[in-house]
Amino acid sequence: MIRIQSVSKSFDGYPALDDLEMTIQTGSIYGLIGVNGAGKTTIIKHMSGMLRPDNGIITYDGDGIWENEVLKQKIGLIPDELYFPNGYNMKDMCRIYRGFYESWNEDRFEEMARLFKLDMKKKLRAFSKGMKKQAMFCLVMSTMPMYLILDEPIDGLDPIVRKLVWKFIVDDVADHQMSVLISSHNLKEMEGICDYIGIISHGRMLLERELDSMKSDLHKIQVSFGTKSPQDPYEGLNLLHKESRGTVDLLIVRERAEKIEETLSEYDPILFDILPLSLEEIFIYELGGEDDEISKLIF
Amino acid sequence: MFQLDAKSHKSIYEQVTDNVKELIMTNVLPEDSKLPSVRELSKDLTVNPNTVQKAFKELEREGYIYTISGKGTFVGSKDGIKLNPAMVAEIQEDIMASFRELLYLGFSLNDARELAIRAIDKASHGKEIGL
Amino acid sequence: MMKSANLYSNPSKAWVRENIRRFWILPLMEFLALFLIGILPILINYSHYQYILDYVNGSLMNNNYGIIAVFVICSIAMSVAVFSYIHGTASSTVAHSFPITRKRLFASSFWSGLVMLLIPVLIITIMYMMVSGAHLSADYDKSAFNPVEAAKVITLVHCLKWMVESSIIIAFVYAMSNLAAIIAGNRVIHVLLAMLINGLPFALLQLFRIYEQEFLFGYPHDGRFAISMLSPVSHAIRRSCYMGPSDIVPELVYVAVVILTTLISVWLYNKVQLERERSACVFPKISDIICVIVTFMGMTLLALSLSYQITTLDNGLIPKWIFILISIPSALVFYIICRMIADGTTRIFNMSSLKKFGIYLILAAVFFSFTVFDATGYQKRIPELSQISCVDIDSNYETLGTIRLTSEASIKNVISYHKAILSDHGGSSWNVNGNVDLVTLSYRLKNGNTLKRSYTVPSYKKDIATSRAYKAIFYSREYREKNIISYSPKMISRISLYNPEASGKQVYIYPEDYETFIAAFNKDIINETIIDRQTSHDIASVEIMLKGKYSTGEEAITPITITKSDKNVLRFLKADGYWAQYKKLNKDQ
Repeated sequence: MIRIQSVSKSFDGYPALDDLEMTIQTGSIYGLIGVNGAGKTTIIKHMSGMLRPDNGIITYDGDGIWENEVLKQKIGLIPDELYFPNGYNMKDMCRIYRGFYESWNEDRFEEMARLFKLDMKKKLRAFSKGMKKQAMFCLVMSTMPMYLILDEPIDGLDPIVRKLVWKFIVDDVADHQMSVLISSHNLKEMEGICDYIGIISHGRMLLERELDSMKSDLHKIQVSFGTKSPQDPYEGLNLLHKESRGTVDLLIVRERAEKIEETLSEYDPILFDILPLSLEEIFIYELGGEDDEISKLIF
Repeated sequence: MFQLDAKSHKSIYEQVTDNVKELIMTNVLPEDSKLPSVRELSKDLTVNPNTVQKAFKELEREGYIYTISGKGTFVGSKDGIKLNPAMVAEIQEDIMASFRELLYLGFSLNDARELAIRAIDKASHGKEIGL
Repeated sequence: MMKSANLYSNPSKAWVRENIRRFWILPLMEFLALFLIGILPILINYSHYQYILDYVNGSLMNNNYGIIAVFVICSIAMSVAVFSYIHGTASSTVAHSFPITRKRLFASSFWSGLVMLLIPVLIITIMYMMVSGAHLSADYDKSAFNPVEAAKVITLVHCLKWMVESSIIIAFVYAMSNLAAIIAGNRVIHVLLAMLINGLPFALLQLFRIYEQEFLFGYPHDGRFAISMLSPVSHAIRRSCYMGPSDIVPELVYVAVVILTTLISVWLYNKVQLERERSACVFPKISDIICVIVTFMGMTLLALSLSYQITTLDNGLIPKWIFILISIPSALVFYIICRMIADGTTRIFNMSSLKKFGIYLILAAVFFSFTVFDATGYQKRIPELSQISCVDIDSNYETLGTIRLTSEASIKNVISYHKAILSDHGGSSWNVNGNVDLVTLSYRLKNGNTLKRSYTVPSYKKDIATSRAYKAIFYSREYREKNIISYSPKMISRISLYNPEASGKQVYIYPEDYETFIAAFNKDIINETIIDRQTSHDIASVEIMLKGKYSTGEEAITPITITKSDKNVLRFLKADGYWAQYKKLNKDQ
């Protein structure tokens, strides 16, 4: 389990991380989402042991990350900005990783390079952006990490490659309980693969839940009682938002679906739809809800 | 084994449980046959293994499957399937809601009833149940 | 999926290996450059070695600017290469996520760079030995070159000394550049900072010396040697002989400094906030200190040169107030430039920068009060008679260089002389644009301290108080008695008579004549007047070389001159036939 406890970091007075709390369960795939500048890349750089927080602590199953070379053996990082030394090709990079990581798996590397169709002799700086990410993926996964951290991994990858990437990740999670952290903007894809979600805003964790419970907790309701609308039918419900278009009310309710149904069916509505929100909608709602201007735009 | 529908409004967890249930109920997966492991299934579908794990747990709880540790997961006998009264009530409500919608569309009571019975017949023949 | 066990992984070794693979071209170029500058000339002149004998000798003594330049450039370049990973965001992220601590990362980078720098030196040393068979051609000029001496230039000892000294120079410049690597935030500043740190002690001390010479009348002129000791580079260039026993301590100190600087660099590396990379300096406080130093250097140079353009006083010094007045805008100019570079923006006109400039002005004011305004009364200080145990005087008139005066009468004379200098200085009779003498007075005090002053005084002129006071010293008994040559013949290795304008043609005095020669010479000294010494032309030069050498390895040579008024010596030389021989050898001159 990766624990980030009360981590704060300022850059020249600007608070990039503000008392951040984050927990990644072992063997889970955690999706970190937030707008640009919310702190995703910053916390990832802390988790890889590059930056040191002003306050707080980051531990992997109890071990602190700072200057911990034994722990770093088990961590695989694919950063947003990739780096390959000038003139290096896949064989050269393979040599570096083989020299650094005790758990380097040569067979897996060869298999992955073959599946991703990567030219071992071509200079990596000449690869397209997508191919560079694939190359990095092959290298990092071949170190057989226990903890995998991906910063915007799917950017620029075509659907076939993306599927291949997920297959490898899912396989390792199932095989040896690898814990995965993914930061991405592609919410649809994250929805399909993550079981935990953390929404980060202004360096703080806004919402961190198991995805299923997040979705079962928040619903969009379309309800209409026709011309005979009852007095205050929504009493007892945790109503977050209400909008009326004619006789149809659009509601955002933080409540279990059964309870909503139970409450409202007493009033015999002529129109009643409960819609689970998609991750994208939850994201937009939670973050837009913070900001009055944005929430006016959305709703 | 089966495909997931990305556009479906059902969660992946629901799709997995429903699909497995269908395969069991239609005897594609006969009693005591071995199911793919969580790992194989998650890799196959490219789905979070924890989700598959949860689905298997629920299926086991409802009696559709059973696990022998060390050996794997197997299809249970249909008699073992526990009836979940809440689920039954929910499905009843769904049927009622769908029927009401027919009325809203302007069907007369008799026409609506006929349409409903025809639909039930179709479903009973087990053809193309679009889930 | 089968896991293959990787028994050969070793992060430090992996990093070293990659550095060598990426940067091997640097040691190759270093080797080629050293080969071209050092070995190739020998190969070309292999059978007429005399043409480059001095060149080779100088190169092995590390007086060859080309070779030194190669060392400095390659060391800085290697430092930039092996530590460039820190400065790029992408490379830094990847490097610091590898399973290796910062300490080991630094160590691997450090050692891979150092080894790559030193291997070419080792190879070139071997090559020097291989070409030691270079010989003189048949028609070499026998008066200029001695085959025995020629064979002693490239020896094993000399080559090893060269190797050791070069290695220390390289390690020193490299270590300083590594410190710059940690402090700097990008490659450009790294290079600039490396040059600054390497040249800093020397530059700063030069600047302080400028202040002391300009504004503190009497500041002693030595210390150049001390400054050159601050860096093995200047130490090597300045010393025009091979390393001797007196160099062991300095070289060990340099090694200690290398070790200390490297440890400091590691410590700082652990403290670096990597998110600050790309700005000029990653430690804001160090950034401020560097700003102050560079502003000070720039301000001094600019204000000094501008002041010189405007006016100088008769004694060659600059008026204080003009200097101060010009210093302020000069400081401002340089401070603005420094701040812009340090902050990476032109928007530096804010309260915080102003406050820091204010701090700088305060520091400068304190410094000025001690130097420009002489707050401690340095210039006027003359010790009391009762405090002095003896005084050394060094002017143009001492035969053996310095004379130590211990009698009370002599010391009183010197004090009067000193007072005369201070009171005459700046007056109308004080003319240092004509003939001048340089005089240094060193008072050894009873409490163990030494008070030293150097003055440029006008040449002896009867009517100046200074000259009259000097005359009292010159004709005093102690001075006369101590001004003679006090060497016994046993100490002397050779005495040669030569014409400084003709090269190489020397007349050697026979050892049995040493005593007579010296006695004659001393007699002349005792009878000499100041005017004689001042006005007589030199008609010959004499070199007395003592047995043994100075601790620096240099030979102990005392030069003296013979003038027309040295009647006793001339009589001796003519009587024993030396003079005739001397004339014969110099017939064509």
